[in-house]
Amino acid sequence: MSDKAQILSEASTFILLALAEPLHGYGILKKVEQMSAGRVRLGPGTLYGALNKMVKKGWISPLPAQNGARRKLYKLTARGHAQLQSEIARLTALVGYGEAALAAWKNARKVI
Amino acid sequence: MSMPQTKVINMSLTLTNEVELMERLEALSRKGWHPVGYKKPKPLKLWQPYGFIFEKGEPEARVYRADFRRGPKADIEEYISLCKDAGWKNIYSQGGFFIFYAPADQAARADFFSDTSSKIAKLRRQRRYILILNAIFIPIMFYIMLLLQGVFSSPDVNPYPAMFTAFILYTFYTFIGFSLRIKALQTPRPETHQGKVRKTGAKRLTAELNSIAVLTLILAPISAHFQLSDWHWSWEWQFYQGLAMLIWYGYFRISIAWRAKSQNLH
Repeated sequence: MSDKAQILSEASTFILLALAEPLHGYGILKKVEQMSAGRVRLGPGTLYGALNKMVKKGWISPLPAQNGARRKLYKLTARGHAQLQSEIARLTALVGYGEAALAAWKNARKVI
Repeated sequence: MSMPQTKVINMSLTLTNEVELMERLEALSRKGWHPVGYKKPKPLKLWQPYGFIFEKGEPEARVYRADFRRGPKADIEEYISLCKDAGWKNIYSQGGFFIFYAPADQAARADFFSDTSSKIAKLRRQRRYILILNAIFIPIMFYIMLLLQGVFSSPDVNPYPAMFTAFILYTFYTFIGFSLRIKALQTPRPETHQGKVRKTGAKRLTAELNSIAVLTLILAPISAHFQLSDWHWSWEWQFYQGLAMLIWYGYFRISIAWRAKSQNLH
């Protein structure tokens, strides 16, 4: 599959990060809000769309429903985990380039 | 205990009136009229009121949002319960359309769609639905048109091709409308609301009259071509077609105004 080099949206990244343990939809909303200290508040329309998309791509999968439970639990798959790792690696590299560039810029200004 | 005051207001969610409808529902809630249900239209009794059933209550600042998605019943139930958990109550779910509402302060913290890409995804779902619907509907309409040839028409006057053309043009306009809204969301400007540029008053009237002029210019030659075998282009034809369209437009606007007035809303 060609999902190796995909750049994730902020919402998708946070959803994958929240799924360190299986959670249902509302659990994901709360966890994302908590992880980002209240900065990222996902709307239910956005969350449901993202969940659908990631289930189709095979990054997450719904757990078999327990008897009587209306809310589906979602868990991260191996493929989702790999996707998350490559995204974090991409962001780490980006931060590295950014810091190096800013440091060089700062030094250059000092020289001037 | 007295029964709560209720009324049915003619309005339904279509592919093109969504933003306006949400604003109208918000305005009604600010006046204390809250939707509590939906009365379906009866095809054989169209004069009976259909639409949202409103109940008089305390004025509230609410935000209404529409979504569009189709899927298995279990998935839709899960979706509605997820929205309910997140504080968005469902008041309408029919034919793939959903309307949710939340108190305005909650919606300001987290809107129903919290990023642009999910708003665009929704418009794309609607646009694809138009395509699928018409891929089925247009051949059926064409077949019905062939069946009706000669029933309400003669070799000299045949309205069906023009009607068919008008329908296809309308579909095309709707489709282009969604594409424009997607484009507007991809390049956000402050005056757009959910990707829709709002026009009011004289500006809106001018825009509507302009689209009538364009439609007349396109439709008149086509319909004339199908109606008269020895037809040639003339200003007279354009004039009568334009006049017919203006009368139709006037009827449409007046009936909307009359209905709004009879419901004592605007």
